[in-house]
Amino acid sequence: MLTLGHRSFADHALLVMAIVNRTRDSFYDRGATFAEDAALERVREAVAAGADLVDIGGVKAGPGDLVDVDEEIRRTAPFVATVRAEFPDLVISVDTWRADVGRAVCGEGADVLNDAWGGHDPGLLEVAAGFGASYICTHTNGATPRQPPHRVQYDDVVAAAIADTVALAERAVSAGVARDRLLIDPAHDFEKNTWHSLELTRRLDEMVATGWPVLVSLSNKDFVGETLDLPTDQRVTGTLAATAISAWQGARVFRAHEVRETREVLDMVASIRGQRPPARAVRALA
Amino acid sequence: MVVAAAVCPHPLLMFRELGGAVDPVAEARAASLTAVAAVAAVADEVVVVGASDAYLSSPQVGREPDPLSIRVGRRLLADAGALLPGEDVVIGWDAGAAEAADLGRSFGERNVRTALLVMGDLSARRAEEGGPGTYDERAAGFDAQVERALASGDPAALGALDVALGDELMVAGRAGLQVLSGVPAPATAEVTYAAAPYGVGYVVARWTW
Repeated sequence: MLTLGHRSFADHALLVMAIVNRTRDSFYDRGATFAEDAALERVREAVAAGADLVDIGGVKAGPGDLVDVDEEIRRTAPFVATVRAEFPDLVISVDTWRADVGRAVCGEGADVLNDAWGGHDPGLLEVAAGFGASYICTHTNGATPRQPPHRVQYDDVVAAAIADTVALAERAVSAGVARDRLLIDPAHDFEKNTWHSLELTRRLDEMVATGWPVLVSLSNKDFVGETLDLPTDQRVTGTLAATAISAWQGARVFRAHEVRETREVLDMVASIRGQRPPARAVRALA
Repeated sequence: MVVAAAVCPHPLLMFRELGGAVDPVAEARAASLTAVAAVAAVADEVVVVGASDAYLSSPQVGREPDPLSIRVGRRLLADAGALLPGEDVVIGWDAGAAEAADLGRSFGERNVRTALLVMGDLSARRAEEGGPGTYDERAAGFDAQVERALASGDPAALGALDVALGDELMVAGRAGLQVLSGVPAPATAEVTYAAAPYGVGYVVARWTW
């Protein structure tokens, strides 16, 4: 059982986490939802398209505009309050590595802290514990936030991702985060080259076998782009292929830009697995 | 005695199997293999000189004992078919100019015809966007200074490189390059490749005596 906010999800449920960037410079949407009204419209569309949760971010993952704590809070906390007011039952996640930001957004009703930089600020765990929030443990090999990967090398990237995320999850439990509110994320492309991200996808079942629910963030990333030699605006097909493979191997939450397409892929995988009946099946049955 | 030296870059992309279907560093590779084969052809041994790993965005995870510079050097020798005896010599990435020069001088005392394969990456702050390090407008100038020293066969100019600036500019090969400040001026010197296709300065050069 996975608990996010007030909601509990069965072990076979496949969840879509819609990306909502309150940034000017994120690699895919390039500021499209920086303005609050545009971001709120994005949340409405995502929910209508089948998103189970939204992931609100105030800082681009890679190098870009400097965003200090105060500015990150300005971008995220009031917006969390706005979304919470309009969608009382929606699971709200915030993508941040900073404890001060975590405290501000949880105070406004955020349910999940998506620590995309893998425990860089240990105080974030305490915040999650204090607010009873869920927490996402990502693998970044100790990288500095927003620094691009350079010549990173692993004997076994899957083993490294498992060791670090499981250790972080256990640290979270020790800090007081509830066991059923933790997810692990191999963090494709974070401190990884394309070969690493492909191998993590191919061997995701090993991560699933840890027993911790696995979140994957694949959407339009560079490993898809390099694999298919396609620019950022042409990676949806590759993303969905990786989504299907990851779902088949047992990933539970999928952080995505394209909510409707991701939802369709996950529903299809669930039906192939025999865990979701077809929406309508009349052929040869009437 | 040192009879020849080659300078080559050492990104992970020099492992051909990592670059994907189309070689992203084809030119740098071709120039490197030519240089390596040429210096090996006139020598009885090849010594690979490389700095310890520097400016990696996170520590290497695993058992690989040698720095990337040495591993790439060895691979270039194998790919060039230059199967000579020799050894690998690691210098600390942050070693001072004097230490590097001393190491260079020590190679002159060897009693066989020695070729040096010096692994020397330049600044990782060359790209305005998308490089490993934040763009620094001084990076191209620093790299050009190294390229001029290599092209003109000027050991003293390599010895005079600004160590602190090199560190600021993420010049992973600075200490390795300064090993060449401890050898005599060569009879011939040429730079056959110099570019920063992915934000890191790569240079291929050859000195002979």
